[in-house]
Amino acid sequence: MSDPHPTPEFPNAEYVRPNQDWVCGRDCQGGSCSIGPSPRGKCRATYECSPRLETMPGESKGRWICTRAKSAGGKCDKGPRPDGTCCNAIPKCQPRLTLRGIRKRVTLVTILASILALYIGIGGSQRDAFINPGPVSSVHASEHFKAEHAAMSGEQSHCAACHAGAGQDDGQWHVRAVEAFKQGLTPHDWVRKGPLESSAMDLNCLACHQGMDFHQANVPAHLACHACHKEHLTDGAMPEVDSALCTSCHGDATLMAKAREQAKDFHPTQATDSGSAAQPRQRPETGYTEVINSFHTDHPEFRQIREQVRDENTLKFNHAVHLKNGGLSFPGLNAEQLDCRHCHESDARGEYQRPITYASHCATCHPLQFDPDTAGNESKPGLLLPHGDPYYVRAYLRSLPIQYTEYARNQEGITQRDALADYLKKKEDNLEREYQNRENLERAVFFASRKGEMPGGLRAPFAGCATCHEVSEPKDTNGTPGIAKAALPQRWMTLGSFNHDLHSKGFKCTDCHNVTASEKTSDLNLPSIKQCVDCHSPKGGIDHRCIRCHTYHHSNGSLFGDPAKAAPAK
Amino acid sequence: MAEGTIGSPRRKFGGVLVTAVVIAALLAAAVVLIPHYPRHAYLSGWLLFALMLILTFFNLRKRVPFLRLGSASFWLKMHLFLGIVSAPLFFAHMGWTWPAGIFHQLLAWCFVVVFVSGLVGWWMSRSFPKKLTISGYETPYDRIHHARANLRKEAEALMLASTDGQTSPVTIGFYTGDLGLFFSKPCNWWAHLRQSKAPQAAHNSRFDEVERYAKGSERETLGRLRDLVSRKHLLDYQYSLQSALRLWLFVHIPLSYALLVFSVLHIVLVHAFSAAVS
Repeated sequence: MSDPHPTPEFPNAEYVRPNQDWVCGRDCQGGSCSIGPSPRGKCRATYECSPRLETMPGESKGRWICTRAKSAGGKCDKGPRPDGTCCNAIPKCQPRLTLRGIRKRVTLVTILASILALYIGIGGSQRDAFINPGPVSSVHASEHFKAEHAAMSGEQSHCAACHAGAGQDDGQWHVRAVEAFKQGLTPHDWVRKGPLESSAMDLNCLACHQGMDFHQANVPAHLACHACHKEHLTDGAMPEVDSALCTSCHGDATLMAKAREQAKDFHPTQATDSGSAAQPRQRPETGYTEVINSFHTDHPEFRQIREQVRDENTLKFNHAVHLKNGGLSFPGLNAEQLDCRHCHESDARGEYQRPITYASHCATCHPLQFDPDTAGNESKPGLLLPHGDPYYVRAYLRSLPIQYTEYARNQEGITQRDALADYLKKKEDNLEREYQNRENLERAVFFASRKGEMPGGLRAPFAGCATCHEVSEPKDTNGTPGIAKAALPQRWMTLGSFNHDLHSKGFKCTDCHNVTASEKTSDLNLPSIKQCVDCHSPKGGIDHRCIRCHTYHHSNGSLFGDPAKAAPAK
Repeated sequence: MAEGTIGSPRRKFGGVLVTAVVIAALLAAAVVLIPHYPRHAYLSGWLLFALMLILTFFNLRKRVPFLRLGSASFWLKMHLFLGIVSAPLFFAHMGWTWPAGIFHQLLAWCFVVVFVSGLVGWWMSRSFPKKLTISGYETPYDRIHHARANLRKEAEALMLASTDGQTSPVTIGFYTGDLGLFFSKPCNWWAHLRQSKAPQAAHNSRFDEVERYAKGSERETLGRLRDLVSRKHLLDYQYSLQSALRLWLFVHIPLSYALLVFSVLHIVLVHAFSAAVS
């Protein structure tokens, strides 16, 4: 069956040069000339032929012969002019660009426009904004940071705070790029495993963040700041560190073995903590080199529990007694029961507990009163021994006449000399009747136990220092009894952070700290890691990333070089 | 069709399968390896740049036919394959996020437009030739204007020959008002690209109207004119699709070069601002 619409026929001799930029202007009318335009788009049409001079034998002038091609109609009737030019001049046309030619020009214009756009972007006042790959975190984008950086370096480019290259003339970028390619970014480096190691850029970070480059003494390689702290991602706070970065080293058995070897050189250096007042501890023999892939799978048990660390505090304290039957009752009118929070007060951030002091947490129930007749009440404090230094206690006891006189004057309202003398005489008689002499009174104050029992079978009507403290005999006849200084660690697990306030929502203290059965001061009462994993795991659904508890930096340095500012509030 | 020959369904399926496997392998490698290779962006970046160079200078092969660098079909397939593979590589290079900076957005948009225009061009080059063959009246693009000129001449000659004083003014008005301009230039470019038959239907409808006023010999003239109009529609259809097959390159090629320019600056920037020398 024939095609109802066959391809139209065209003269084969028709001028078609689709691969050239220009075509004859009369092409669209179907009358293009055979010579076509020049490569620059100029019409080259002149005459239909170029006459040839033929000279017959014996002739001197000869005659011009038409050379028009047969395809163009053959020899013309009129023939060439006497001067040898063709009589059929071809009218000039305006050659037309082909699509190919237009595309070439569009491509060229686009390339030039791209270069111009880059020139304007880089050369303009908004250069930093133009080349910035993403928003800088709020701290590093702040005006304060810009001012600090400008003051430190004298450089106005904000980028130059971290990238030294930004402070240079744009013309030098390619030099630095080649330098970088040769130094640390060779093709071999592209496929190097492991986290980014510290580099020249870290020095810019450390200009402000002094001392923050320290991780652990036995670390096989120091990481680059930007390995963890990713910039140019958000204009808020920097994204939190991914646990994969931690496990890239801590999950690598080879690296940990290397760190373990190095740790041998450092053991038993004291572990460096984040400014805490914890009990001094020694670095583990192997350093912190257990292979850990995640908190819930293979994180080792807390060191304090694993090594059965005991509280070496000399203070005698029995949690079980204080919390018996839901807690002892407070003395006084209000029948409030003793609770964990009466002694363990949260700090301002709710993370840890404030230090426990005698004055704030013990004195209400344990007043240092030795004379029952001078007991205090709500309106007067009573006659109380000083707390803190045994030397002061002894000095106080040896100045009792003065103390009684002051007490009588200030709290009993006795001002007349005779009445004061009578009051003092009466008190001294009582003491002599009770203790025979002052030495016995001093011994009772220092050595009487909670029930008033003393070495040697004597009894005292009050609880002495030995109730809570370890008291030792004086070293010489006129010496002061020794009292072992109480050392209450503020934190036990200093390599990890913790927020008690967050955990108090839904949990009681005793859910984690088994203190109701703890009778000894040496009990740490810390929960096992298993209790933590119950919640902090994919199963428990609570955040279980490394940074939830740990920080990479363990340095006494601070943001502005002042160690006091770096210490977290306890 | 012989099994395994070029263009056979089996070969096409093989090509798609290879591309899918390579992309899947790339994605899997990105997920598994990226956390362990923190400098992966340099590797993927240089790979991308190499791909861009190969893809951009794909046409150079035509300039050196004497080197025998493989068939045009092979190079086109390589161009398609590398172009498609470059997309996941590009997004892996960006860390699966869209950049926020001005320059980097410019670079990313440039890539996306080049990639999408390439896909559109590929789709057109696969589907349009069949349509052009099926529609009939196949005409080489460079001959279309010539064919159009011939049709116009034929139509003018037809009308001049039939103008004998008895011709209906409706017919003359129809030609001078509508068809004169219609024969002189390409018409209904978008309509033909959308495969719409509405323009031809409109002309047929007008012919039906005009024929009501025509006499015996005039009807014959209108019949021949209708045929010429029909061929002109076919020619416009050819023009529309064939020019579309060329016009997508006006986006794809210039922006490919712009992308190269931007990429060069990007490479200079990331190295000059890298931690190695900062």
